[in-house]
Amino acid sequence: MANAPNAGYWLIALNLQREEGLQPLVDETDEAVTSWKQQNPGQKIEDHLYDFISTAELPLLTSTIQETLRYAASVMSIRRVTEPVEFAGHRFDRDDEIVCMTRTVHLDEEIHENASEYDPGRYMKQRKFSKNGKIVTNHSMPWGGGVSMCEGRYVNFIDPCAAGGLADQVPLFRHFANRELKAFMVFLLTRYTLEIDQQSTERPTFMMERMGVGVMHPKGDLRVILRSRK
Amino acid sequence: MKSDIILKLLYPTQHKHLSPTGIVPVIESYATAVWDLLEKEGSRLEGVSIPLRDFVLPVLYQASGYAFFGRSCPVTESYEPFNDFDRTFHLLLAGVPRVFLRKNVEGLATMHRLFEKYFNGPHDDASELVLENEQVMRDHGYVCSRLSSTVTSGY
Repeated sequence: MANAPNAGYWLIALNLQREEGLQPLVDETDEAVTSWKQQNPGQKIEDHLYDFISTAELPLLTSTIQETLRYAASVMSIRRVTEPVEFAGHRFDRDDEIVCMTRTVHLDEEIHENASEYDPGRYMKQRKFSKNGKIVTNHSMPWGGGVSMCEGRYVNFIDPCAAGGLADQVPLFRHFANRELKAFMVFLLTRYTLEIDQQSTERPTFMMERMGVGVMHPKGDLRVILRSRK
Repeated sequence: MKSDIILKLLYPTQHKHLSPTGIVPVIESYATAVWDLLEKEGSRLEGVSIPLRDFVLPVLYQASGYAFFGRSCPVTESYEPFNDFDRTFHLLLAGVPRVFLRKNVEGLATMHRLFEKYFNGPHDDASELVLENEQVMRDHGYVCSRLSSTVTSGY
């Protein structure tokens, strides 16, 4: 209840500020709706919401969610050293605490090309990430990692991203919060248009002082206008 | 003793209900809740210029609340207290004394009161995850005030 809402906020805010806005996501969602209706003639999506969300192929939305989390999440996983160990050229003694800053991985230019840029299609173009010639398995850790990973880590059912060409990312997309975002965006885009109020000039930035506590809150905001789709 | 209950009983319950089949009812509830909330908000906000935050954050917060805790979850009443707590949560983590975080402390206390009332009232439509955790804790003598803070802490 704490992180997913802010991730949803950034997904919309970041895309609205792109030249094409939310239109590519609207187009993909429309295609998924058309396809579902063809396969389920005479049925209404509102009577089969779970079925629709579970079966719709939405590779761009899936990639956009993951990119939003890469870009906006800042999680610190803290570990206590139980036995003296040497790791990555550093020596750690018993009871030392190691803070793992997942955001440094998210913004590592050697792992993610143009890491400082928000690219919704990033995970459609690239499925494996590497550094110094080695595959980086945990290139995206918006919900932390290991034993202290966010509660939804055991969620695990067949997800549309597997069919959308992102099979390598499936573990991430089994997370409940990712499916929350998917359902929210799909239902929003099928029923409403959302545009920036051109009268407003304020734009949100990351509240950097919340670094390490999850998806960053917005500092400032942008005004939008919501309309029902015809 | 109490931490044993959390480790040995609550965590396994939690894992069971977040398993592939266990989570499905929560996702179904979430999908219905977010659909309904978007319909309500869409009618209310049609054509109006609004801060994006005021539209997106409450809908996602409320839909999650309904999905886990059922329709009697105090999602509207708890939204501002939750924000009061969450807004300065990072300062709490950084070790700022609570005396300087009055709104944070009050927000959390209000959340506890609201969920204490929730647990004392009918909430049969809550997810199995919440209901089973609640039962485990009641069986082990937790009173409602402690129960509300523990059961809600993971969400």
